[in-house]
Amino acid sequence: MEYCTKPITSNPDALLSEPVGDDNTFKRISCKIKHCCDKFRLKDRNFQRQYAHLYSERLITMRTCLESAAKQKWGSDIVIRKLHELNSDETCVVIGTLFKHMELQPSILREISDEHGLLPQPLTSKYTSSEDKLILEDELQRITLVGELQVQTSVTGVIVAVHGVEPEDDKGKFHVKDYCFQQLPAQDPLPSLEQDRYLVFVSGLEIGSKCEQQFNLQLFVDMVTGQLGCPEQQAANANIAAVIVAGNSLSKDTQTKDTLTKAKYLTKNTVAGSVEAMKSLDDYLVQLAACTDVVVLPGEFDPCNYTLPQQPLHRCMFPQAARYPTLHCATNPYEAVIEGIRVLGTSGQPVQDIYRYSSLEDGLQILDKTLEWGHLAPTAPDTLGCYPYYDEDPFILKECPHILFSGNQNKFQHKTHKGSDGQRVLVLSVPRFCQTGTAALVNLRTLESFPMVFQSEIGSDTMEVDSPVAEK
Amino acid sequence: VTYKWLSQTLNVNCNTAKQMLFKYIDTVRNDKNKDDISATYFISGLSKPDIDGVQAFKSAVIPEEKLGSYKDSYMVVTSCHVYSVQKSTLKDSNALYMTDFEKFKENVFNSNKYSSIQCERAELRSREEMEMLTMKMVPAADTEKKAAPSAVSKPVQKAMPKSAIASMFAKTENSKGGPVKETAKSEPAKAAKIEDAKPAKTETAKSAKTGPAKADGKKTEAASKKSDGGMKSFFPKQQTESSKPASVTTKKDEKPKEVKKEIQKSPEKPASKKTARKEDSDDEPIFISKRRKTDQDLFASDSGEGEEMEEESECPLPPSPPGAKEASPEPEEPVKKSPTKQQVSKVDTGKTSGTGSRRIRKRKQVNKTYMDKDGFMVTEKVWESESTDASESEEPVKKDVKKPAVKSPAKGGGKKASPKKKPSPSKTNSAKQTSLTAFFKKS
Repeated sequence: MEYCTKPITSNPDALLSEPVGDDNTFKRISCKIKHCCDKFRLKDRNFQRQYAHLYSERLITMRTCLESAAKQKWGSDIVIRKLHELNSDETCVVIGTLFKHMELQPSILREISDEHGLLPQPLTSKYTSSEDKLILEDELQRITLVGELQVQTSVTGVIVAVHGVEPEDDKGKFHVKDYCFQQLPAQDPLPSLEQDRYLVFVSGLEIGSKCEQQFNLQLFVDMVTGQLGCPEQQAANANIAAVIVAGNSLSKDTQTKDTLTKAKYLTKNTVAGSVEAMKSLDDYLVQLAACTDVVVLPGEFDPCNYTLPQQPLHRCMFPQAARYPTLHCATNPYEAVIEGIRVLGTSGQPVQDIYRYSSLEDGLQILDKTLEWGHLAPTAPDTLGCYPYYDEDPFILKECPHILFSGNQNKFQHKTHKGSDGQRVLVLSVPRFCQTGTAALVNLRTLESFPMVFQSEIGSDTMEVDSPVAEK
Repeated sequence: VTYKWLSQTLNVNCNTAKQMLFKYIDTVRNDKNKDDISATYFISGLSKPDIDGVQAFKSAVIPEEKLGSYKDSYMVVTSCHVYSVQKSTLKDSNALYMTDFEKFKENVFNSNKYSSIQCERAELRSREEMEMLTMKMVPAADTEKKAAPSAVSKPVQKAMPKSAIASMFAKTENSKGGPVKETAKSEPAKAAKIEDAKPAKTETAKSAKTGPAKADGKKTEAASKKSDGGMKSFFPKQQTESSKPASVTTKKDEKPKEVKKEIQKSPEKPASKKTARKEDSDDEPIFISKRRKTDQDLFASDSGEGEEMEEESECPLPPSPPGAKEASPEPEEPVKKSPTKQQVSKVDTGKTSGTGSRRIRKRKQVNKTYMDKDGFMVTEKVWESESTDASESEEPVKKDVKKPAVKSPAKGGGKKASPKKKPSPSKTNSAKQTSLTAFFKKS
């Protein structure tokens, strides 16, 4: 049996029979994982720097790609100018960083300005408004953008090449006729695998929360480890090469941030919620790791550093599971080459941040946009915490991945992004398991993906989960 | 009874267990012709395309009654088998989960034995491998220990590792086994200490060390200090430093014995600080951080003299070998006063050695009030570093001697105070006249 659109099973009820005793065991398929997350590991922890270096590095690195993209789009005879060399009424191309000026953006200065007696800003899910403005910044100057470039769908930090004119009578504004982003970089050819190999993505386990789904998670683990299902399905499950846990394995409830402010006598003898949750997670991981390769990414609520790139959870947090060499603790964002297929993704923080600061609603669409912009997390460091890099920006997409995923989304969605050079990227949004009970299964041979839903309807359990919708 | 529980209890493959359950249901139903058991089934399949045309591989555990309806809702059923059998109807999946969970906990690493998929790569790492992995993280520590006492600073103490090491080496050379002299400050004294420290370090038991050198007395005290936590250790050390090496050393040795110290930092500084630093003393994080700061200063100012970096960060480089740090308050000061000097954080040692008007960073004991883990307010005496211009050796500050064991014989008036736990600036030991500036020292 295969996990495809037309699975063929000869005997699904094979186990509704007398015990025969001829149980075959299947071997887990092998999997060559090469982790490339070295570039996301922090070598030194110098937080004394400003973020300007990061922005300038980003601009410098992407400028060359953008120049070639611009020439390709508008012809090689166009003029590329820096802002300080702009001539009025000259149609040219300017390359720079976008900055979106938002009134509602939470500002620390406003928060601490007492004299106005301002109330603290209400927490809204979106910080956009209709008066947002787009500003283009290059190395030396900045200029307001009007025109074709939509404000609502853009975010700060994207490097863009705009083609337009600064009119004489309206200095200070650049009228955009057209714009373009970095072209999708080259993609390694998709290796042809003879056998079906599956990669399973799961995220948002949120252990420790009230809506934690222990039973369904156990079903998932049993499925992957080959305990559930009839022999044919187990054979198919044996082709699952690796499981990627993409963040938020612990839930928000385990973060007790107020212990610092609460009085000691109130917090005496209380143990952090994350301790129990980690032990629970370790239990699940040890079952998984005993049977397959597992990659664990830290997420927003995991006990890890807040700024991107999040460093791997330490091995000592999984005392049982770490005994298996198949457990890999990885950074967030994560990149690896699995059997020749480049997989890149995050635990969902960049996507969520873009959602907050733009009018884009759909997680998959946002993920697609990041691919288009050529940058994994453009809003870092503006609104998304980021390490102050000095001479590199590891979030720039330098090679085109085959699979781009983002965890902790609302629903399972996938689509294939086609690049200008014939690149095909599977863009995958992995839903939160605690809400949907769904994991994503990707066939590495065909780059097809399917959701796997786990539910139970015993007694009063109401696990009738809506079928995951997906955009094809 | 779930299939998984059955397979692990009877040691059969999980598929066999499922079949056994099925057979059981069959038998019971046929024989008894009544239905007092209820079963849940596991069913999985490709669902029919929903609104957006998505097909999902759904898997569900459902009670028997719903089996039919579920089968219909799937386009293709990929598997179906018995999940569990129980006497009463289940209220929710909790019971099933807990059964399996408990069974799993009994046998954590073999939970996969009866599964149908085996993975070759997933072999438990052996103990050695695990240790290798942990070794990698703490490489310095081990080597440090073995190495010269200076290394002692080891990983535990971040603060002064470098300076401590340097100082250690410096000291060692100097003091080779010389009996502890009053003039701790002299290099040899230090060296002796270091030497002592070295042997001490290698062994956890201080007592062993005591043998090697009398001079160690100081060192040992320092080392022993660690385990007790900064303050306490300080006191004993202080005590020992004094000129009574013999007595001191003996004392110290005892102390160390009690205290498990892996690394003996014998650095001259009697300061317990050092010892505290050496060992991972989470007891005194405050101390350590303070030390660290002071150490840095010390290190900076100290041109690599043997100042034991660890605890004594305060002492600026004294022209003369710091040696005096630990125990020998005297060396620093023209007055070889003993014990009292030692009390004074080594600072004096360095500084006092010669320049009267040098800026001396001294360690003195102040009262610190804080909340401990139980929520109680605690006032404790803590060594704080302070910087002053003192023209003579600062008066040895008496630290509370937490350890009664530490008795400084005849150290001088100052020492006696130590048992009292009252820091009393000891001016008695100071040979020099205290200047008026002492009055204006910040306290």
